[in-house]
Amino acid sequence: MDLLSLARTVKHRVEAPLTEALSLARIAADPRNPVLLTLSTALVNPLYRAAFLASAAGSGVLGCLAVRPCDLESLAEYLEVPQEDRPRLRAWLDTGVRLGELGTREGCYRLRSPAARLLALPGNDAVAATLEEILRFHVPVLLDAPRMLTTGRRYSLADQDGTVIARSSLALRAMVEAALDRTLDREGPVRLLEVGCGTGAYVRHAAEANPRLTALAVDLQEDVAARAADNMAAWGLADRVETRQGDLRTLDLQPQFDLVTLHNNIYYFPEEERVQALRRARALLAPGGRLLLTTSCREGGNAGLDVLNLWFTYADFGGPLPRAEELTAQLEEAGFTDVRATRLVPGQPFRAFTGTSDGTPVTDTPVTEAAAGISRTTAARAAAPSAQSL
Amino acid sequence: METRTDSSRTDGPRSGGARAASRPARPAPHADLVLALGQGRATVETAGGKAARLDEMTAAGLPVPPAFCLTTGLFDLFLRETGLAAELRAAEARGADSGTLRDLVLSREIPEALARTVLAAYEELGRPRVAVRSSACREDSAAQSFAGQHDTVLDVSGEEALLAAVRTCWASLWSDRAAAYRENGAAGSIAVVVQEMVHADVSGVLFTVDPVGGRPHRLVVEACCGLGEGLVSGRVSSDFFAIDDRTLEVVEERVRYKVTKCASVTPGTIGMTKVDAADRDAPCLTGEQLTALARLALDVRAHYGTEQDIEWALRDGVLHLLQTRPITTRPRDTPREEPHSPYVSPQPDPVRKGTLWSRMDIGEIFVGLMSPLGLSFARYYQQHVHRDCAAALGVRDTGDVGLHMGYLQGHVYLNISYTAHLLGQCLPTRDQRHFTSRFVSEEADLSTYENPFGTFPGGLEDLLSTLHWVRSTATEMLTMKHRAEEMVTSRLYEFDRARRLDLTRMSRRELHAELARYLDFFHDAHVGYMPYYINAFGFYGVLTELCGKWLGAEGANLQNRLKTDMSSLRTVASAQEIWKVAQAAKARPRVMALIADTPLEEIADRLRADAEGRAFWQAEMEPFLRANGTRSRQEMELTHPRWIDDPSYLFQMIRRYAADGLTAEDIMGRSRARAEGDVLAAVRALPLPRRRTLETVISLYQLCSELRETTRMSMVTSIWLVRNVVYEVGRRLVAEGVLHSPDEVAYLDFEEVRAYLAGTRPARDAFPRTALDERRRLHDYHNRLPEPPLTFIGEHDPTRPARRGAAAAEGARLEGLGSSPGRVVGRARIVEDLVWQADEFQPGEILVTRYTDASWTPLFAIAGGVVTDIGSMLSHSSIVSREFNVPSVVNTKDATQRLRTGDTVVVDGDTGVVEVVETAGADEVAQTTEAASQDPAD
Repeated sequence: MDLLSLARTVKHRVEAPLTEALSLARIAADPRNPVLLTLSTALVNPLYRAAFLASAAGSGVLGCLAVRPCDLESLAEYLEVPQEDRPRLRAWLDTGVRLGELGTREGCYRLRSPAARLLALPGNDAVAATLEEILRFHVPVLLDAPRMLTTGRRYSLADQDGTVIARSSLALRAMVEAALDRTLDREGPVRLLEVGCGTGAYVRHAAEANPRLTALAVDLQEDVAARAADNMAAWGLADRVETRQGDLRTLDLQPQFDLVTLHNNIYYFPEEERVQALRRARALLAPGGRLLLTTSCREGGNAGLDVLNLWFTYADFGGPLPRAEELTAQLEEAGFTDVRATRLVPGQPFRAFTGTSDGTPVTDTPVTEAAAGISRTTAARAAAPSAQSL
Repeated sequence: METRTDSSRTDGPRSGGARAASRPARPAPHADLVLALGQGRATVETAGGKAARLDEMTAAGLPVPPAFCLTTGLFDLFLRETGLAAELRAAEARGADSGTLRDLVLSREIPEALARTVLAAYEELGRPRVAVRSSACREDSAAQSFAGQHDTVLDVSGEEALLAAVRTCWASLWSDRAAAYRENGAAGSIAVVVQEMVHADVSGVLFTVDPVGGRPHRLVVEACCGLGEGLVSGRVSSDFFAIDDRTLEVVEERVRYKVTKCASVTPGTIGMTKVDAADRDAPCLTGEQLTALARLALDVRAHYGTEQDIEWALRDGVLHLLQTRPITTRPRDTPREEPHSPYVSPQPDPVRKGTLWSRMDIGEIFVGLMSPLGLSFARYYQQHVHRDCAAALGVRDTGDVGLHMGYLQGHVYLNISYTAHLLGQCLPTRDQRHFTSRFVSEEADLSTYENPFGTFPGGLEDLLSTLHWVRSTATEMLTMKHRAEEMVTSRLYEFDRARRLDLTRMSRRELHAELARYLDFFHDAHVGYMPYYINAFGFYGVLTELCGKWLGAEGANLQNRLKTDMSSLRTVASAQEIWKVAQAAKARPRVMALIADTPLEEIADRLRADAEGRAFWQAEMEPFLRANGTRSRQEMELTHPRWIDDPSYLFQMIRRYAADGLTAEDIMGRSRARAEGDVLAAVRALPLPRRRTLETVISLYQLCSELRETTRMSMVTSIWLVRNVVYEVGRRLVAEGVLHSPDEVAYLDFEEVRAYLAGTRPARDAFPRTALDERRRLHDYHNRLPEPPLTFIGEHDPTRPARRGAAAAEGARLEGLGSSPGRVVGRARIVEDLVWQADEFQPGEILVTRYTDASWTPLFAIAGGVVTDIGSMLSHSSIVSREFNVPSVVNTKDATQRLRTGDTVVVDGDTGVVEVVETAGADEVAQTTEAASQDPAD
């Protein structure tokens, strides 16, 4: 029984004309009532509010209302809601009003709660997207886990909404960029390889920080790489940055790179393949060249990461989030020296790992697609399509 | 002197035919498909252009070596009988690349009947050693056939070798080179010429009209020792003669010192060998020979009725004609068109005529004639790097970059007037004379010189500039040590990185990124180096002044007697390190034997193919190359291979250093030979404040010299990096047939290379052949002009007769600049080609050469004295001589022309005078060289 109908029942019973006193007394004495009340205020209302805010932000309603209060008609127009569905839109909006997130005045909806106002700010889009990601992906894995075990179903890459992930990942942007700024030489010529370039935003950041930098940006997914290439052209970086589809494990290039970066995608490699992937990255580095790997790490005390980790446990690709000390050991096993894990913001589970290649030859050669027997789907397992959020 | 017109050899029926007839006659099948040349039967369609011309020349009674031609009919028959015709068609339809097609032809045996036909003709020729050349039907203009887009196999002897050579020529129809010339359509057919090989003593070309100069009535002759292939590839030096076609008198002559020639090394192999010592500075041709050659040329011209480009060869005094072609391109009126001013853009008269130019001692990486590639790279430097170099010196207003440097006759000049004008912004060079005076030479009279740019504007501008200079100099003093450390680190990083890269496996786009990176590094290395260079110069000037003022006679030349700790100078250390490598080699007899007994060009491969050699390579050579390998001579010239690219010179020096009787003391102990105590005694006697000042200046001078040496390696390494990419592009261009040989990289333009890598244009469009040929002609022209002066004011007319010093008689005195003190008597040895002559040099001899740079250091270590034509007190060579305590006189202008190897001379490094005590006889010249030439590689 859901809580609303329970509440409604309670209300209904209260209004019932007869046997009021008796039933009232019985109901009041029901030991479940205080529990329900507690649940409602402590758990359920915040969840409702969060869900409402996530969808209001994701659909753009918060953005509209941040500009000016809007009536139902203009919102319906903005969301392209057909005439016959407008009462349904009103029902949703009114629920938001009752939850206290929105308000009304003179027939217009407006932002009311501080949370709604904050999330409506354009700069906080990544936070809103993170909220949406939690509700869309984290909540289901918590709900579905036991059932998935009985049905044998697993999440696949298609279960992730790329646009939400892309937006939410920007919540980490400042930290990734800070990590880049610490590692990147600003003056000398630099040759960069970015594995899993996503939109290409981080390559852009690096290219703008060092005007002499040239880069190769690869992404496993053809369409993601194509979009990134378009972005590079739009940013005027096409002559310095070559963007194409590529798989770290099969890249057959000369060891020309001064810096290889992997941002927020190490967990797209199954745990047992990580050392091998890191070894390949090292093989592409010049002697003395460096690797920069950024990722959130598994550690106690962060429920969000635990749930994300749970999600990957129930997915048919990738692997768990790394633990800092495990990844450090893997980097060392892959032949990196001077390996360091740096926490960029105190208290955050996000870390930047750096390692140096001493130039000793990497013995294994790149895996050819045929030899590795990589099919399209298994290739997608190692996908680093766009930066994955925390 | 006779020209061969022996009709019995050239008129048919041939004498060879009679010889064949005397044997058991077995008439060869298809005899009609082979033509003896000289009977006027060879047409372009059946025999190709080359054979048709030879046929006609022979028929005209010209002295052409006997030859026969395998016609296109024979080739077509070969294709039909072997079934290749169909296979090739199928492969072409499949779109197979030319390599595949070539291999198809090369791997096919010539059917027995056809082989007999070929061999019968060979028999008839008398089975001499022959040159086998392809003769294409479409090959026509001189530009195309000069370097030849089809193959030539030289010095072939024996039947098997002949048949193989024929197949090679046939297959060349599908070479990339030939394909590049075919506009479209099928490959067509090909004929082959088999001609008696002339093992020439001297060969060359003759143009019946000056191909570049365009002056009338001049027959122009280029002559080199050995085979003409050396001349064509530009790898040997040649003599130049101009003959008046009316009087047949030699009107101009430029004789070069010729160290190497192209010749048959063993039967069947053509390679580079040394020219006999006695022939090196003598003209290739006598006056009589030149007259005979001129007569022959006039005959040829009269016969054809057009101007001709003639290839000739001289063997045992007999003149042979190898080839003649009409000159189709109109000669360029270069002397009239080519400006006499180095300015790259038009300047007002007073500026153009009043500017002081010098190529003395500018970085020592530019000195000397540069190839078109080298010049275009120098222009890149000027446009993209030079301004920042000036800024790094604390110059506030760096002016117009286009004016800083100029180019004349393939030489790079620094605009001294403009530079002095701008340096007026820096405190130490406010008085322009401080800068200008070091470029004085006898060609330029500075007594009437007035800077056309004037002095730098005074007033506020001046104040701002001075403040700017003070600030940047103060910063420089604080940061210079640290920057040098960083430069060393980044140099090693770039070197290690580049050593791992296989450029042949990189995409065009990746190469583009590589070049951009290297050019950035090149920029930084130059900008970083320049302050050390100029500050060393500045402190040296201050030191000279203070010594003169405070120390008087006692302190004379103190600045030149100072030396730093030897090991701290990178360049000097390179000699030490070769010594160590030589000792390590000596300790492994097997390795030493390999180095001593293998031809130079094979040593590296042989070492690496041998277990012990490999160990030696890893333990000794690699570290050496990492520290020193990117050095070379005239390093801005991209065509010169670096030590790491061609270690021949290193092996020569290892052989030399490992020779018995040479001790470590000879090489390493030199700098300790002179007592150091006396030098500073005078300083110690000074009152304390002066002493302190002087000591500070001394230590700053030493520090800057040391840092300059250290960071110079960064600069040199950056050029090596750029060179690697350019040569990789060159390699691809040769593979694509755009260039005919790797030697032609010299005619690329650096901007073209950059644009090609940055874009997607096909190589043939990006590097137009006409431009390459034009650059080559211009370079050849520059190469034969007298060297332009080191320093001059205004303009220089290259056609003005050059002053040529006569050979110095006994008692003659040559005056120069004493750059390293001491007096020594020794035998002179002229060294023109460092790599080829390094093993001739005897310890204690006086090294006489045009100019030196850092790559000569190992030779300095064993020289008794050093004399150069070009140089200054702060030339690299001067600094290094001082470190080795080798008396040295630089800037003698023409010592290499006036002194001869074997002359006994006194070198006085204090007064700057070289005196000839005893001149060498001709025998002695030969002896001194032969004694040293025990190299089996010769």
